[in-house]
Amino acid sequence: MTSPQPSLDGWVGTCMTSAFALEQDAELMLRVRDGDAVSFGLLLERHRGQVIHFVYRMVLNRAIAEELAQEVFLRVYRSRASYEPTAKFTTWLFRIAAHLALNWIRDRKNEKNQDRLDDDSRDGIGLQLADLRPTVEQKLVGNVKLQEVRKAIETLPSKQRAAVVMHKYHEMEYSQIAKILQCSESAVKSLLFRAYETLRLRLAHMA
Amino acid sequence: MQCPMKTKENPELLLDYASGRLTPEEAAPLERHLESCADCRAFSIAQKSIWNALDLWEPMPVPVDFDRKLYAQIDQYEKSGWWTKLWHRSIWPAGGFSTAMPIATACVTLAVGAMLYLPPLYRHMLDPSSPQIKMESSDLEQIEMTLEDMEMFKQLAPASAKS
Repeated sequence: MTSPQPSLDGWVGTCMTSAFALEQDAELMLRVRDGDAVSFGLLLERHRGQVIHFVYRMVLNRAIAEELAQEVFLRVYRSRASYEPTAKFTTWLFRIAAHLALNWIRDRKNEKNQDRLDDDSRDGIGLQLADLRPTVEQKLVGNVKLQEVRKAIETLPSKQRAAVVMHKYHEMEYSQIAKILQCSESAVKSLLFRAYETLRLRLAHMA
Repeated sequence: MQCPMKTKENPELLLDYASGRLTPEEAAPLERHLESCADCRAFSIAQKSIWNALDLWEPMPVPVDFDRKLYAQIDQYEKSGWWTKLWHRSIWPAGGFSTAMPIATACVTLAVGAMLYLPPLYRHMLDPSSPQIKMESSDLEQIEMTLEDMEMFKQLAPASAKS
């Protein structure tokens, strides 16, 4: 018995479906631009989860992730009048999300540094914003391993983290990540190589 | 095929292979290469294990009241004044603050320009240490006396008007 090969019809069908989805996003956003609230609801429905998951994996805090994801959609709504479908809708959406998440990480880093300068004895404990409460998923999976993965990703520089999250969890192409992070494709590949190298070193014992 | 690790021509090929993104046609020559290249094989195995380890991290659930909170913020925005809307649309657009930076730069340039090119006659007004804008105690006393005089005249004014 031979393994099933993807047929040309199937491939064409998949391409047409994804192209249709892309056009649908742009079409919906153009309707939002014209004041259609229902289309905004549909866009929210389609992309809400992806945005929340991306932001959460960037900031590692549920409350902050929810707040930032809402800000992403609020900005989409506020900018609807100037929307032009020049790029993929998801590229535009994730550019807003990445911008907000990277800014939040930068500001938190500054706060931590300032706190360290102000009071060495506190050691930044008061400003530790990461959500350390065990979640249901952690309780179920058990585990130390999950914590280690989280910790390893947390220690990556923010742009590397963004590139890994988009590459691994959102299955984006290098070109799309480059557009979102506003850098070249080769820069994205370099970011990913360095990030995965760090992760391989940190998580080597899990192999 | 040439070794992706040594030639550095197509190093992402190994990342794509480990993440299962290569088609069977693309993967076949690489798999043949892996059989003879220990470096690429080690890289590929390590990368695959990292890829699998990252799968442990499941996404957070979508908060149940996410939409309600968002629509409350949208309502609040709609009820806000035109200035707030203009501020959000033009100064803080969705993708960042591309407009804010030039405006801030222009303001700073204007301020520096004013400091440098303002006629010396007015420059003292910007300098807090200038002796001309220091208020001495005698000046304060004079002002107080003038105010008292004005108050007195005000009280006297109706009486003189009656007479």
